[in-house]
Amino acid sequence: MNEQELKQYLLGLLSETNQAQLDLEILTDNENYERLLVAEEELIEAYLAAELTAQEKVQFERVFLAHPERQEQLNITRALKARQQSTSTSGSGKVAVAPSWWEQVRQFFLPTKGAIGIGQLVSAGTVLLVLTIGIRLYLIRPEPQAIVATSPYPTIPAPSATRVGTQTRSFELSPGNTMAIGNKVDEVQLTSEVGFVNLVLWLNKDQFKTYRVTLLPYGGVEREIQGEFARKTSAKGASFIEVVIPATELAAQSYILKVAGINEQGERIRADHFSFKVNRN
Amino acid sequence: MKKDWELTQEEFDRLLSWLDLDRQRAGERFWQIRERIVKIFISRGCTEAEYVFYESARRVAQKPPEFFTTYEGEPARYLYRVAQNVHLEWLAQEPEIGEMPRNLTDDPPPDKEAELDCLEQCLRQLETHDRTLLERYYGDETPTKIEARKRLAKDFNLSDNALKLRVFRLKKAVSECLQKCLAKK
Repeated sequence: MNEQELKQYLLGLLSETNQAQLDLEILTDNENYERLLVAEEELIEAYLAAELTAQEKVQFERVFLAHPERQEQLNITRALKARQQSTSTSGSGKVAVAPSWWEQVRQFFLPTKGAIGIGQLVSAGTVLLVLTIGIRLYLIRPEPQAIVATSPYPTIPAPSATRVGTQTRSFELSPGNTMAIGNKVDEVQLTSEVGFVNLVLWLNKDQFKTYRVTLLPYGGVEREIQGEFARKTSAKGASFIEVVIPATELAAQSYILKVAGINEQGERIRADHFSFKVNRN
Repeated sequence: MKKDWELTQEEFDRLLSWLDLDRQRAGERFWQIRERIVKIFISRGCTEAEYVFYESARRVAQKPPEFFTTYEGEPARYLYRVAQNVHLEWLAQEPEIGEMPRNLTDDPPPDKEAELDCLEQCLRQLETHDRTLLERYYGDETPTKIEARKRLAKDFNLSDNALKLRVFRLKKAVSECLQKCLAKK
C-alpha cells in the first residue's frame, strides 16, 4: 500500500479488486489504518492548496466529501488555517492599503483589540455571509430532486460505426435485484471476442417514453451511458429498453444500472435499477 | 435510509462474546471494527456508512446461536463481507441524485461568529502542548511549510507521519467539541 494507491482509494479511483484488497489491509492492520488517516489529511491539504488535478478535484468533491464527517474534516482544517493565517498576519507592520474581500474576511477573524466599528462589522459580515453561502453551495453542490435531462455525469460514449464487424452479446436483466446474501444476481459473461454488450432492461416503471441510464461500478464513479433510450414493447406486452455498452467499459466486477424516465418537462424521474455482475474469461 | 437496528440484550451479548470472551476487550474490539468499517465505506462515497455498519452488526447478531460456535475466522472480516452486501443494497436504494446531505440542508446557515468563538473555546480546552502543535502546524502556509513541519515534528520528537496522525486526532477532538459548543449556542 503506497501513498498513490491510498490517494486513489480515497478518491474512488481504484478497481474493485484493488479497493477490496486495501479494505482488508485497512481493516486488519493498525499501521495501514493509520496511514489511511494520514492520507486523508494530505488529501485535504492538497485540495485546499489547489494541488489536485481536475479529475482528482471532481472525485474529491463527489466521493471524498460525500460523508458529513469528511465535510467536517475539511471545514475544521479550513477554519484552523484561516485562524492561524489571521494570527500570523496581525501586527506585521505592513503599510495599510485598501483591504481586499479576502483581507476583510481575515480581519474579521482577528482577535478583537477594542471595539469593532459597525461599518467594518457589517461589511465583513456581508462578505462572510456571501462567502459562507458560496462555500456551502459549492461544497454541497445542490441539485434539484428531479434534475433536467442534461447529464451531470461523465459519459460512456454511444457505440459508433466501429460496432460493425464486432461481436455483440445480448443479456436480459431484471429490475430490483440486490446483492444481498442469498439473492440471485444477473450475471454477464464476457470473453475477449465480445466488443459490445446489448443489455435488455425489463421495466417495472414503464410510464415514460424515453429513459436515461447511468452505470455505477461498485465502489467506483457513476457514469451516464450516452443517449436517450426509447421504451419498446415485447410481443407479450412487457416494456423494456435496450442499452448497448462497449465491452471495454465493463470490468469483471459488480455494477448497478440506474434507469431514470424522462418526463414531459424533460426532468429525470427515478424508475428502476438493475444489479448485475460481469464475469470475464 | 432509516431502519430499526436495535438488538435484544441477548443478541448484543452474543455478538460481543463472539468478538472476545473478555467483555472489556470485546467492547474495544467492537468500536475498533466499527471505526474501520465506517471509514472504509465513507471512502467509497457512502453517506450512511454508520448505517451500513450497524445493519451488518444486526444481521450477524441475529444469526442462529450455532453460527457463533462454529464460525472459524476473524470476525472483522466476516462483518466486512456482510457490510459489502449491505452497502450494495444501500447503493441500489440510495436517495435520488441531487438530494442534499440531510445534516447540511436541514441546518440553518452557520453563525460564523459563534463558530469562531467556539473554535477558540475548544482550542483552549486542549493541553498547551497539543494546542501549540496544532497552531504551529497550520501557522506556516508559505512555500517553506514543509520545512516548518519537519522542524515541528523534530521539536515534538515525532516522525512526519506520526505528526500528521496527531494532528488528525487533535482536529477530531476539536471538531467534536465544536459541534457540541455550537449546539448549545
